This record gives sequence, C-alpha cells and structure tokens, in this order.
Amino acid sequence: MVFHLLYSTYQLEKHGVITLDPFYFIALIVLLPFVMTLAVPFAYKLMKEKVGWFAAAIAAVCFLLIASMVPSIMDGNNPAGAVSWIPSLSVNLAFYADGLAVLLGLIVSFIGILILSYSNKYLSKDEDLVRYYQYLLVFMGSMFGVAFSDNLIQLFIFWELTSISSFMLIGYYRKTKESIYGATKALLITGGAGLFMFVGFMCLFAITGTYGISEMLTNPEMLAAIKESPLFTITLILILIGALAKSAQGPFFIWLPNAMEAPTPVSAFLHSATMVKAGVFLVARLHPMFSGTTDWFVLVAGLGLITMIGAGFLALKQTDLKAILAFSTISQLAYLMTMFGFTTYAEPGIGVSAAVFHLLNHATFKACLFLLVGIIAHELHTRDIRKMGGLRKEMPITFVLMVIAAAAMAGIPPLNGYLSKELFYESSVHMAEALGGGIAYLIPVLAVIGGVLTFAYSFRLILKIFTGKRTEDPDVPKHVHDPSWVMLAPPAILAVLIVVIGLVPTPFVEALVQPAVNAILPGAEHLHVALWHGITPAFIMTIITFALGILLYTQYDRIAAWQVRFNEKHPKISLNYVYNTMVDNAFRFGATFGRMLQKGSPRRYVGIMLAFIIFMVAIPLGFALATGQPIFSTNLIFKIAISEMILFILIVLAAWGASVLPRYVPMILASSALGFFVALLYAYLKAPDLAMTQLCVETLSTIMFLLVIMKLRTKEAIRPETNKVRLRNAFIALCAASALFLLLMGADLFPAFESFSHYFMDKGVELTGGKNIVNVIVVDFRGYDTIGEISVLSIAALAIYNLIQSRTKKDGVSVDADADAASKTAVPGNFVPSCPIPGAPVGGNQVLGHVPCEDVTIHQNGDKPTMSVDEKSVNSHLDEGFSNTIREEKK
Amino acid sequence: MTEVFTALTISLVFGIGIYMILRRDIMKIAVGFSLISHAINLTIVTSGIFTGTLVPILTETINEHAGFIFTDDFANGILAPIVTGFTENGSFVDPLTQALVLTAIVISFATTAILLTLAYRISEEYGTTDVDELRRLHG
Repeated sequence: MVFHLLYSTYQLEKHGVITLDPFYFIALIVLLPFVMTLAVPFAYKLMKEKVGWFAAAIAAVCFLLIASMVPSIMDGNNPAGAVSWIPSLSVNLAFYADGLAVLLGLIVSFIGILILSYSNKYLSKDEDLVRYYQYLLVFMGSMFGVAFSDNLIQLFIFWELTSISSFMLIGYYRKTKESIYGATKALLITGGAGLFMFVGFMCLFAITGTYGISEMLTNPEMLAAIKESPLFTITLILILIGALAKSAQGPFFIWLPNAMEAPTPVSAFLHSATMVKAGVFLVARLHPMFSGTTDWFVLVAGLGLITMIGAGFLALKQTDLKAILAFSTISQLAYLMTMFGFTTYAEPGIGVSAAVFHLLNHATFKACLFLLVGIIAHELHTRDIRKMGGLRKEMPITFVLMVIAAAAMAGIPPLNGYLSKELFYESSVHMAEALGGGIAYLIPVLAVIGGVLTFAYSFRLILKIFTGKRTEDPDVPKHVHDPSWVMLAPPAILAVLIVVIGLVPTPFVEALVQPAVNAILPGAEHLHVALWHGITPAFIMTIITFALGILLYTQYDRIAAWQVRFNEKHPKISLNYVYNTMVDNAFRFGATFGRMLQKGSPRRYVGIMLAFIIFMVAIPLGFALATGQPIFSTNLIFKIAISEMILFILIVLAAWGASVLPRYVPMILASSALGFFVALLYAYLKAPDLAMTQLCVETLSTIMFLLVIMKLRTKEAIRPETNKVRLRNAFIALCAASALFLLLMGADLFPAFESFSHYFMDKGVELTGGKNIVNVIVVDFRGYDTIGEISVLSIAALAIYNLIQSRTKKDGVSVDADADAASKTAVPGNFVPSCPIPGAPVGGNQVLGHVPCEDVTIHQNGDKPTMSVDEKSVNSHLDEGFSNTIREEKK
Repeated sequence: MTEVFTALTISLVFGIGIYMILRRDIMKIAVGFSLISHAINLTIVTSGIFTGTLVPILTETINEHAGFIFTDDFANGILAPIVTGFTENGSFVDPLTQALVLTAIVISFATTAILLTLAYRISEEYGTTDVDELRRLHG
C-alpha cells in the first residue's frame, strides 16, 4: 500500500507533471539540504525554538524523494546520470542510485527526521540553534552525496564534508575542553585517513583509467584488471584505512568515544546510525573490486573480528552511558565489517546479505538507544551509570523502549537484532566450512564471544539504569519523569520498527535489503529471513551466547574493576596514549620549528629568503664550474656609449647616496633622484611610456615620503647599526648582487623562448586602432591585468585609509606629554581628539575632565609651551562644582 | 642580456636595495624596497632587447611580423614600440616586457604607499620606527 503510493509519486516524477532527468532528481535530493541551510536563519526568525521542525520537514521531503526510487530499483533499474565537470581528469559530477545507495539514503533521511524532531525539545532555546541545524543539514546532504556519488573524487569530497560537519557538531559546545579535544581527534583521524583513501582512489584510477564507480563495477575487465594489478594490495590497504577510520574500526576506534562530547541527538545521528556507516558503506561499495581474495578476507574480516571483541570487552569498563554505547557501536560496526569480509567468490555465502540486513537493524536499535540515553541524561543531569537505578517506576515508557532496544542489540527474539545476529552466526559457520574447517572453526567461536559481550553490556543498560535503587547523589534530581512526547515519539517509532522488522522481516528484506545485496554481489543467495529455522548451528550458538552472557553478567563488575586496575598500572598500553603523544609531539615540534624560523624580525625573513636564493644560484654555478661549462654568455658586449655611461654612473651614485646618507631628507632626495634617472634610462631604452609613468610615480612617491617624514614622531634618533651588523648586511647584499649579476650574465647561455610580441605588433593597429603597442597591451590585450592592477591600488588605498582611521583615541594622556608632542610636530592637538583640562584632576572621570581640542590653544613661549582653554568650552564640559573651582583659582 | 655594464648597474642597485631592507629603520627599508623594484624593472625591460640571432628577423610587410626585430644595440636604429605608419626597416623593442613593467611600477608605488603609512602609524603608536625597538616594545 505504502509502496504503491510512493510508486505513483515516482510515476508522477517520471511521466507526469514533473519530468525530471534521473541526474537532476538525485542532484535535487543531495543539494536540497545544502540549499536549505541558507533558509534556516529565516526559518528561525519565524519559528524561533521550533525551527527543528523546519529541518525535520526537509529530511522528510528527502525521505519521500528517495523512497520514490525504491520501486524502480526493486525492478532492477538504477537511475543514474552525470554531467561533465573536469573531463580532462575523468572527474564528473555523477549520481547513481542502486539498492545500497538508496538503503543508506533512506536510513539517513529517516533517522534524520526523528533526530531533527527530537532536537526540538532536547536543545534549550538559549543555544545557537541556527548553527546546530545548519550543521546537521550540511551533514545530511553530504551523506546523501556519499551514498549517491558515482565518481570517486566526488565521493571523496562529500566524504570529507561529512568529516568536517562531524567536527563542527562534536565541537558544538565550543567552550569545553573535552569537546575541542574530541572534535580535533575526530577530524585528525577521519580526515587524515581520508587522505590515504584519496591516494587509494588515485591508485584505482591508475589501474582502470577512470574514477567512475559504476563504470568499474559493471565492467568485468576492469574488475579483473584490479585483481591482477600489482597495486592491488596497496590500493586495498589505502582505501581501507579511510573506511576503517570513518567506521572507527581497528586502531582507529579511539576517536569515537571522544566524539560523544557532541549533543546526544548528534551522537545518535552521526556517530551511531549514519556517518560511521559511511566506512562500512564504502567497503560494501567497493566490495566487487576487492572481495574474494585472501587480502580482503584477512584485512576486513580479521580486523573486524578483533575490533568486535576488543571494543565489546572495553565497553564493560565504561561508566558513561554514551561511552558504553560508543564502544558498542564500534563493536557492532565490526560485525558489519566482518560479514562483508566473509566473502569468497567461490562461496558467496550470506555474509553480504546478513551485513546489509544488520546495517538496517543496527541503525534502528542504536539510534533508539542513543535517543533514550539522551532522555535519561536530560532528566537526570548526568550520564554516569553508577549514579542511576530504579528508574523503572518513574520513567515507565522510557523503560519499555529501552528494554526493546537493548534486547534487540543483545539479540533476543523476536526482535530484529536477533534475526541479523542469527545470520551473522550462520555466515561465520559458512565461512569456517568454506575455509575447510579445523582451525577455521575459531571464527564461529570468536563470533560467539562477540555476541556474549554484546549481551552483557546490553543487559547492563537495562538492569543498572532501571532496576535496583539509586544511590543518593546531590547532582541527581530526586524526582524524574518521562519527557514530553516530542522526545518520546522518535525512539518509540524506532522501537515499533524494531519489533515490526523482527516479526515480519520479509517486506523489508525484499524492498530494501535485497536490492542492496544485488548491487553489491549480484550472485548472492536470495535471503530468507524467518524467526524459526529449526535447530540449526546458528540457533545453538545463540543459546550458548545467552547462557554465557548471563554468566558474564554476574562477573561484570569484577571484569570492569580489573580493566580499570590494568589501565592504572600500564597507562602506556593504550592507543589514546599513542595518539596523545603523537599530537603533543607534533605541537611541540611545530612550535620549536616555528620559533626557529619565525623570529619576528623582518630582517631575518629577508635574510633567510636571500640565503635560499643565493643557494639556488650557487648550486648550478658550482656544478658548471666543476664540469667546466661556461658560466658567462659567449658574446658579452663591453662597448658602451658615453651618454649611457654617465647615466649608469649617476644611477649608482644616487643609489649609493640613498644608502649612506644618514638623515631622512637627503636620503629621500637621493632616492628620488635615482627614480628620475631610471625614468631617463627608460626613455633611453625606448620605453617612453615607462619613462612617463616612472616620472609621475616618482614625483608622487617623493611627496609621500616627505609627508610621512614631516609627520613622523620618533622620540629618539635610531641608533645606527653596529659595525658587525653592517658588515654582515653588506656581505648579504654583496652576495645577492653577485648572484643577480651572475644570473644576468649567464642568462643568454640558454636559447630564449621566441617572443610572442609579434602578435601584438601585427594585430595592434588592426584590432584596436591604437598605434602605441604598450598602451594597447595594457588597456586592450591584457585589460584584465590592468583591472587587477587597479584593484590592487584600490585595496592599498582602502588599507591606508583604515590604517589612518584606526588610531586609538588617546584620552588620559597627560598634558605635558601632549604639549610636548604638539610642539614637536607644530600641529597642536591634531592627533589627539580631546585634551584634559588644565587644572582639572587627572584621572577619575575622564569624560568630565576633557574638552575638545579645538578649544585648547597652545602658546609657544620659548622652551616651555603653555596652554589656555576656552572658558565657554570648560563650562559646557564641566559640572558646576568643577568649573567653580577653576574660576576661583583663576581669580 | 649581454651588456655587461647594464647588468653591473642593475646588480649594484639591487645589492644596495638589499642592504637597505636589512636595516633597522622602516623608512630605510621602504627606500630599499623602491631600489629593488627599480633594479627588477630594469632587468625586465632590458631583457626585451635581444641579440638579433635568437629571434627571427622578418622584414616583410607590416602584417607579416613587419620590421619587428630585437637587437642588443639599443643605441642606434631601434624604435619604441609605437607604430607610426609603414615601417620598412625599423626594428622595435619588445613591447610586452614594457607593458609588464608598467604594471609593476604602479604596483610598487602602492606597496611603497602602504609601507610608508605603516611607518607613520607605527611611529605614532610607539614613537619609533626602529624594527628592533618595536620588537622589544611588543614583546
């Protein structure tokens, strides 16, 4: 019924009112959240704290649009389309919707609706809601982009966008140290690993010659080429680094627990249900390229099994509710990885189908758990599980929902978690059989251990929070209750889904899971999911899991205590220790390096740059000398006209004068003389335009220099450099001059490129009507350069204006100092907007004690300047008492 | 460039400019910058004058690279790149380098203006234009 409705929508899209090309249809889905971020501030103006509903509505629209593609995909038609972006690099803007993409898209948009609605009540209205919803919408759009991308480069861009939005959301509470740490950690690990993945993508391009994903997946020759390529293992490892880091697998898991600093809805959305699935999604997406090899099995399934048990074990010691969930997320994602790893082409097995099914189920129960934890933390003002207990009576609805979600995670029938866990066990047994039994039966054993751990911490969530008695704690309110329906409805909807998928899995499997499986592994067995399969090995494993799980639960506290003791004893055996050391060292090394290079003195920078340039000239020079090659041009001209000679001598003399004259005015005169000689030289070099420009510019510069000198207020003369410094500077200058001289002398050694000025000469008159070719180039052929030049001038003018305007107002400067400065520059009160009144008490009320400078006159009487103040101004600026005192004193 | 004395002059101006920007006074640094830009501009302009052998000399009609030759001997017989009519045997210097330098002159003027304003404002705020002293004051 529902599908029929959606299908008709799709028909509408396809044939009817809105005829949309598949490309634009998917592009609409991906871009809608991005575009709508711009509308969030306006929506906030209208809806205030209810703006979350606006964001939820956008998610709902996306959900419907994605869902409308489901019927077509069930029929095996995958909408796809592309527009050319950077064709020379095989980078296209390409979208592609197959079962896998649609499944991820549906999960993202559906959980998105619930999270965004839930946030309405979770966040208080004092918080920066616009920023929060904008980030979430950007994230949602990026996730759609990851799901529907058909080009690896495009996928990478969206992939990093999810990392960035995750960074923003983890650091949403900008003030706390923990959230800054968590955000940085997440960005460094996922973003840094993303770069490895990028290199992996380039390796794929090197092998196949394309970045198109579906192009690779549907071309058997390319798939074979990838498998046979010598780059195969390194490509796989590089891409897996990115995927594993994103899904917090293997050694990269450490960012996820710290990411829990984000607001709980964000954790539910990004860090359990969707973003962390991106890594798993990529593994699934690239499955046909790499799977069926030993490398694949060892890396994906092996790391998956280790992570599953490791994270499950570490979850036991956690006391923060969200930390428990974080570790369980890592462990559950490892299930998915393991199942995707359980694929050999000879024996496709049910690994992939089981993984896709569990992907869906995990999103439902884990998001539900996070939302419930959010409720509990919201009500109790703490997330410490040790402070909880006995909430069953106070929060009955939350309790029921928690039981459903946690039991699903533990794999209790008839919930959806049970079904996918059965499949997980079954696939592990299949894998062991496919590998030929024997030692391979370790795989099912490890799978059961993972299940046992999951069982234990799932029950911890129910029993510790809701049963027993709460210890008295001043931080925890005495009376708590279920929250409003806005916060209860989203987890309730998910809980209903958990039960419904558990009881009637077939429609979901047919509509969502099977198309996704077909997209990953066309030859996979058709999945039959049912609650009861008879006494199978998987069923027996489930029974064992429950039994061992209960046993483990009785030892829970002892194991947790042992873990804590172990950590205290060996603080260095921890990945976090490794991470922190690396980051700290990077900071320290960076700071040291910065201190070495960035001394803050411009002269040092210039020195370093020059030293480098000289070095760069010295290398080829030394090489040429060593190999006996010529270092000078062969046809050097020593002939020189007398007029030329005189001009050169004058130029050098002027430059020398500018450098040795100690006082400013002679220095400026020498420097401007140099400018005018250069203008003369330009005229001689047949460059009349340059001569003209140089004359104007030099005149202006001279005026500017003199103006500035007039206004300079240096207190004391600048000490001349010591002889040692002078010698050093002279040496550097000499080296630089020699380097330039050698360069100029050797410049003719290599054949010059042919000048393309012919074009300007030939076409100048014809195309522009101008006969002065330089002018024509400046205003016509290279007109844009001139616009750039004009903008540089305008920006410089703006900068100068701002520099002049940015004077700080100098209130409270003592009269003496001001008079001093005024007498020095002979412009009384020009720089200081207000002066203290003579006689009024200095300090205290600055507004009262001051009059505008125009009213203060300074008389120059020999050495000591005196000031007189306009009487009216004093009266208008002082209160009665003050002015009376002054008048009395004057009498 | 094969004109030894031109190269020498340019290098000397450049060297003096470098010496100036290594000094302590911002005003002198500003002068140093203008010296350096003179040197570099001259380098570019003179590089627009080649020896005749490197570039083909075409002395046909004006539409076919007419009379456009590059020569190193800029004392005699070459013209500024201004077309005054039909030129049979005249030779031009490269207009492109001149156009480049025209822009460079104006931009270096803007740079000098900013540097000078900075010097002025710094002296106003700190009472000195000594870079070392400024560093000491600023900590």
